[in-house]
Amino acid sequence: MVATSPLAPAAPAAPVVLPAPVIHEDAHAIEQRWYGWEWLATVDHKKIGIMYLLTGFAFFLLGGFEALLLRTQLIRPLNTFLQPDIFNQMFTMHATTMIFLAIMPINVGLGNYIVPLMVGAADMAYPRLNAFSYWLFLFGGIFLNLSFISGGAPNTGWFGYAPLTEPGLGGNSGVDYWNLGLQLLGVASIAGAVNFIVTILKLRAPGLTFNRLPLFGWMTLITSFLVIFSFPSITVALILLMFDRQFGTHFYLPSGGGDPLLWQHLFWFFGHPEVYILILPAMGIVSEVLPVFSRKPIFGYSFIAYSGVAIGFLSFTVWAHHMFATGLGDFANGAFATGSFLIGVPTGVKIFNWIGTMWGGSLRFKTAMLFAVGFIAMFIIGGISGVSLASPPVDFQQTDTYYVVAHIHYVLFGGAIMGIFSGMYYWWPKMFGRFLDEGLGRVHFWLTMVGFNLAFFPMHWLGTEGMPRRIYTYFPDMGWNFWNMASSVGAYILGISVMVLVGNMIYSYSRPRDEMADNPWDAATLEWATTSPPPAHNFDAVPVVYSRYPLWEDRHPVEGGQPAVIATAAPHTSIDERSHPADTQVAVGEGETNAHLATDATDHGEHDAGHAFHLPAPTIFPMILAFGLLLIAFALLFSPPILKVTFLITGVIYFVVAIYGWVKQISE
Amino acid sequence: MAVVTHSPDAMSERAPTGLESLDVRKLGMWAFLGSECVFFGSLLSMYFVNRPLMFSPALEAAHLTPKTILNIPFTGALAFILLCSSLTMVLALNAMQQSRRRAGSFWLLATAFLGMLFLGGQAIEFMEIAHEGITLQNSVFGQSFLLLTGFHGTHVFVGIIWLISCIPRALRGGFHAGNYIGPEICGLYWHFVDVVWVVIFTIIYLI
Amino acid sequence: MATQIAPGGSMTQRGSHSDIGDGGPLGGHGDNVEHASHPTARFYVLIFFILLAITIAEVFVAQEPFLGIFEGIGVPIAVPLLILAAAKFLMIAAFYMHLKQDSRAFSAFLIAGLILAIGMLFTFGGLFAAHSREPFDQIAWREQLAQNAGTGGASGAGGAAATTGRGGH
Repeated sequence: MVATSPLAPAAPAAPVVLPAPVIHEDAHAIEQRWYGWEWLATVDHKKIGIMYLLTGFAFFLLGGFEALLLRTQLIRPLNTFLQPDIFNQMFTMHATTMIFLAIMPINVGLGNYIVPLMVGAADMAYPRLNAFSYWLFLFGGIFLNLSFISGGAPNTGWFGYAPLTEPGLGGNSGVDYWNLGLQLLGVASIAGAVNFIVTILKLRAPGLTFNRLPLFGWMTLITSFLVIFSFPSITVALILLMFDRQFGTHFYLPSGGGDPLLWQHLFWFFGHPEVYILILPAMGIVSEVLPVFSRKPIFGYSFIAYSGVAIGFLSFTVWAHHMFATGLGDFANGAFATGSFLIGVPTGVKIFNWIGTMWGGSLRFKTAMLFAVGFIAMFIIGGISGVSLASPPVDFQQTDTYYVVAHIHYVLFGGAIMGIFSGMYYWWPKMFGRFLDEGLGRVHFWLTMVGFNLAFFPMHWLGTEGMPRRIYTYFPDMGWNFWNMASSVGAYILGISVMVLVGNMIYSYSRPRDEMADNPWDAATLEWATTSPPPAHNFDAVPVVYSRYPLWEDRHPVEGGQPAVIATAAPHTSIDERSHPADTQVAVGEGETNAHLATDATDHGEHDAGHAFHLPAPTIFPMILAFGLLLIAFALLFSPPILKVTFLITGVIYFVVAIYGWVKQISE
Repeated sequence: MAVVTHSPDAMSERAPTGLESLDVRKLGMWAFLGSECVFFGSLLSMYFVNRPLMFSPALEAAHLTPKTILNIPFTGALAFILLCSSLTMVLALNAMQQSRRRAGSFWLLATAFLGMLFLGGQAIEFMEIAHEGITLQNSVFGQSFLLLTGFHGTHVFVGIIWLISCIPRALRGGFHAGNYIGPEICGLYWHFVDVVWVVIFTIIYLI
Repeated sequence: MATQIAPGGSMTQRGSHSDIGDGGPLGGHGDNVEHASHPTARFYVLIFFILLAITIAEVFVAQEPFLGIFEGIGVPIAVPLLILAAAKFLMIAAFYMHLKQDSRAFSAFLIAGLILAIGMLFTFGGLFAAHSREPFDQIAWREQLAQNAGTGGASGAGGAAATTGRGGH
C-alpha cells in the first residue's frame, strides 16, 4: 500500500522495486518531460533542484537585463535613457533580483540536486518541505516583480534604508512588494536551510563522517546555519517597516521617537551573513572542482572546512562595517574593523589551499576548471578591495562610491557567479546526461573574463575619484566619462557571454544523451557513483564510504605524506566494484575519528519490512501552502479593506487545507 | 535484483520504535527553534534600545512609564498560567509515552485551555493599556510593547491550534509508546514559547 | 550489478556496525533511547514548583523591599532578575524540553541561537547608548497627535503622518 496524494492521478504512483537492469535502461530511456503533474507535485530533490536552477537562472537573466539598462544609462554623462526614478527602480531590482532570486536559488538548486547524492541519501530529509520552499520562492519572486506593473518597482535600494522607505518620504508603493516579497522568500529560505541541515547531519551514508564530507557539503551546511540565524533579523526589520508603513507606528521615524539606525543594524545583522551565504556554496563548488581537474585531493581539507566554520562565526560579528559612516563612535568602529580584518584570514587560508591543490597536479582545463581558476583570481581581487573597506578611515572615503560597487561585483560575480558557472559545467552531465559544449564553454569563459573585468575594474578608479553610487547620471567634467563608457561596454560583453551560455545550454539539451556521462570527469565523490541522471531513488544500493574520495580509493597511494596525483581510472569503475582494504587507512584520511553511523531516516512514504524502497509520493499540498502564503501577502499589500479581507480569508483557507492535507499524508 | 540493503526507517508511525525518525524531526524543530531565538532576540533588542525613551523624565513625572502602566501582579499571574501550561504539556507527553491516551488527551486539552487563558489575559492587558491612551501609533512604549508581546501571542496562538489539532488523534490512540513524535515536537515548540515569555516577562515587566 | 553490502552484514543490524564505527554525538540512537531513568510525572511536578517559587521570587524582587536592598548594595536590579530568569530558562530547557537527556546537537542549536540573541541584545544596547538619539518629548507629541486627530479629523494611521510633517504625497 503506497501512500498517494488524493489529488494524484492514478498512473504516476510511487514506483515499486525494479530489477537492476531495468532501472538502468529506464533511466536512460526515459526522456524527461518538462511539464506536467510530476513537476507540479514533485517532492524529488532532483526535480526540485532543476526547478530552482531554471527559475533562478531566468531571474539571473532578468537581473542582468536590468543591469544592462543601468549601464546604458551611465554610458555617457547626462544621458536620458532612463528617467531618474526608473533608474532607482532598476538598481533596486537588479540587486534584489540577483541576490535573492538568482544567486541564492541557484545555490540552493545545486545543493538540492547534488547534496543528497553527495552524502549517499535517497532524498532530502523533508521532501515535501523542500517542494514548499521552491514554490514559495517562485511565488515570492513573482510577487516582487509584480510591482513593475502596479505602481512601480521598489526604488529604495536593495537594502531599503529607512526613513526613505517610510510612507511619503520618497519610496513608492513598490516598497510594500519588496517588503512582503522578501518575507515570503525568507520563509522559503529558512525552511530550505532547516532541510539542508537535517539532511547533512542525519542522512549521510554509512562511513561518511564529517571528516569525509565533501567540502560542498560542508559549505552548504555552514550556509544553512547562517540562513537560519540571520534571516530572523531581517524578518523583524521588515515587520517593523511594515507596521510603520501600514499601521502608523514609528519604529524608524525620529519624528515619532524612532531611529533609522535601528533599521540599519537589524538589516545588516542579516546582511553581512547574507553575503557569506552567497559566496560559501561557490567556495564549496570550487573545492570540488579543483581536485577533480588537478587529479589531486584537495590540499588542506581540514583547513578549508574549519575556515568555513570560522567565517560562519565571524560573519555575525562584523555587520556594522556597512555602517562606518553613520557615526557609531570610535570604539564601535574599531571593534567592527577588527572583526572585518579578521574575517579575511580564513578566506585567505582557503585561497592558499586551493592554490596548493593545483600545485603539482595534473591539470585539465575543462571549462569547469577555467571558471574555478577564474573564481580564485577574481575573488582575490574582490577580497583585497574588501580589506581596504574594512578600515574605517579608508571606508569613509570609499563608502557609497563605485569602489564598493567594484568590490561587490568582484566577489559576487567574479566569485559567486563564476563559482556557479563552474558548478554548472561540472555537474551538467550528472543532471542531464549530456555535456555542455567545451568549445562554447571556452568562448563563454573568455568573454566573461574580458567583459567582467572591463565592466568592473574601472569602478575601483571611478569610486576613488569620487563617483557616488546610485546616481542616475553625472556631469561631463567630472573626469568619469571614459571609464563609465568602458564599463558599459564591458557590461555588454558580459551580456553576450551569458547569451553564449544560454546557447550552450540549449545546444546541449538538443543533443542526444551521452552514454558515457556517468562519471565523465573521473571525479571521486558519491554523486558520480550513480547514473547520469540518477534514477529516482538515487542509488541502487546504499554506498558505504571509507574515505573522502570514494571513487579514487582503488587508485590512491596508501603511504603517508603528500597525496600524489592519482592515476587515470580504468574505464567505468563503479563504486560497487571498489576493493576495500581490510584496514581503512587511506592517505587522504588524516586524523579520522571513529566513523559515524549515519541513519537513513527519510521522510518517505510508507516502508515495509526492508525490502521494497518506496519514494515519497508526489503531492500538491506544498504548492497550495505556498500559494496560501502568497494570498496572505496580497492581503497585507492592498489597502482597501474589502481586498484585504478577501485575500486574507482565501489565503487562510488555502493555508488550512494545505496543512490539513499535508499532515494527513504524513500520518498515512 | 535491486534490493536496498539498508532499512530506511520511515518517518511514518509504522516504524517500530522510530528512534531514528524521532531524531530527524526533532532536529528540524530544534533548528527552527534556534532561528526563533534570533527572531525574538531581534524583537527584544528593538524593545531594549527603545527602552530609554520610555523612561524619560517627562514620562516619569506623568506616571506613564511601563512600571506604572503595567500591572505586575496580573502579568505575574499570566506567567504562572503559562508555566502551568508547560507542566501540563510535559505531563501530556509523559502520558502518551506510556500509551495512556485519555490522560494524554486530557493534558493536551488542559495545555490548550491554559494557553487560551493566557491569551485572554494578554487581550485584557492590551485593552487596559489602550484605556491609558497608549496605542501603536502614539507611543514608543506602545509600539514596542505591542509588537513584542503581540508576536509572542501569535506564537502562542499557533501553538494552541497545533495542540488542539493533536487532540483528535490522541483520543484515537494515535500517539503511544511507539510513536509520540508529534506531541513531542509540539511540546518543544510550546516550551520554547513559554521560555520566551520568561525572558520577555523579566525584561519588560521587572527590569 | 552486485549490490554492495557493508562488511559485517546488513545495515539493519545495528549492533554489528562496529567496523563502521559507533554513533557519535549526532543521532547515534543510544542518545535517544528512553532510559530506565525516564523522568516521572512527579519529577515534572517538582520542577514546576521550583519554577513557581522562582517566579514568585522574581515578582517580589522587583518590588520595593528587595528593590531597595539590591540598590543599597550597588547591584542593579537587573542582575538578580536575569539570574532568576536564566535559572527558569535552563530548567525548562533541560527538563521539560529534555535537553539534558537528548543529543547534544539539540542543545547546540539552542545555545547558538541564545549566544546570537544575547550578543545582539547587548551589542545593540551598547551601540544605541553610544550614539545619542534626539531627545523625544513623548507627551507633547502625543498631545499634538490627539489635537490634530481631533481638529484635522485625520484617520488613525494616516493622521500621525500628516501631523509630524513628513510631507505627504
